[in-house]
Amino acid sequence: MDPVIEDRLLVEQILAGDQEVYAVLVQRYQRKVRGYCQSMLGDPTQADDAAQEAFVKAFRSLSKFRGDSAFSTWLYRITTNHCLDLLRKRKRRPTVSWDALMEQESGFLQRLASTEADAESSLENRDLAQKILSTLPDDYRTLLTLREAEGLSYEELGKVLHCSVDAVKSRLSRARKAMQERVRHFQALPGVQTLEERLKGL
Amino acid sequence: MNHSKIAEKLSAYHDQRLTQPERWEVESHLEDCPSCRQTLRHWKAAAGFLFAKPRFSEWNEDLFTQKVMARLDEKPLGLFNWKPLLQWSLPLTGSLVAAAWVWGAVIPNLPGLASDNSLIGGYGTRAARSAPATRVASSASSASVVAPAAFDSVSGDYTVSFISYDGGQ
Repeated sequence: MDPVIEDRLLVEQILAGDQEVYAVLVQRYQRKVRGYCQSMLGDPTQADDAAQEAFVKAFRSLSKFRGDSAFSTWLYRITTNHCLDLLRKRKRRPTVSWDALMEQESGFLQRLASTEADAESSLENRDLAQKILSTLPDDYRTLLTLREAEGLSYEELGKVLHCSVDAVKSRLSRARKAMQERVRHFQALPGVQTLEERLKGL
Repeated sequence: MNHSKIAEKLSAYHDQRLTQPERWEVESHLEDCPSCRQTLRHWKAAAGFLFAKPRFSEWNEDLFTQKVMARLDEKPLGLFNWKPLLQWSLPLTGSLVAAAWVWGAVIPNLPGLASDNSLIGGYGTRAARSAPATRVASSASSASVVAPAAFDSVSGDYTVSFISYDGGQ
């Protein structure tokens, strides 16, 4: 059976009172949701909590699921809103601008950049990637994560972000330019491996 | 088509969202434009690096599902969010207590103010002589009035006297 239709039937069963069926949906989408939360938030512990919270929020709003998009798309929308809330709260604390990050952590970045790719440096790569991502505006980060990490189509992105496909296209173009700008700064550091080189180590 | 117009289409090209004629157009430009070729390579590498999927070596799917299912019956927080109120209640209470203490204990004892509390709105000794009494209850023939509070600058206390007035009968 088509997974989209199967999900809708499961939702109908849950709304009819069989709450335990929700475990099937949690089991099915938890890796996606958890991975997405980690890409958005960085911190694994916070990502676990956020993923749980997203599933609980989705359950409470299940009666609002109209079925005009796939359950997974609807779940991404709820998860996105929750992660953006958390990022906004985080932003109320002092944040690190890209320039400040380069100034404060240039030694750290250079060390990471010149490390030979191995199991440990893979973790460090994640850390560095999170630091770079944290300097992107939240909407660019969301869009790029949903597209590049989760592989959502333009149509799905439009449904998650409540915008047209044309808007998705132009925003993605701007987001990629911003991403390129951030990484170009990083690549300008002396002794830094190119991203292509680092990518081979992942 | 010029470089800037092609550059605008690179993102859609990267995502394979162009029509076939547009695609040919971009590919023809890419053959002669090292800058656009580098941009595409850069995007691919940056996306691979920044959005590499996290590994879940210690991920326990059943435990995660149990945790979520256990929370389904939790009551959601009400519409009114008490958190900010609770967050500010302690500093607010502290500030009010501090302000009351400054008003009641520190200001009256400041040199130059202790002997003339009319300056701070209280009834000082001089004010006690001149301030009018306040009528608090009355009838046709009698009334109770509260005399202005007299401030004793030695003890720091206020004294309030009730005076009965019988209308001269």
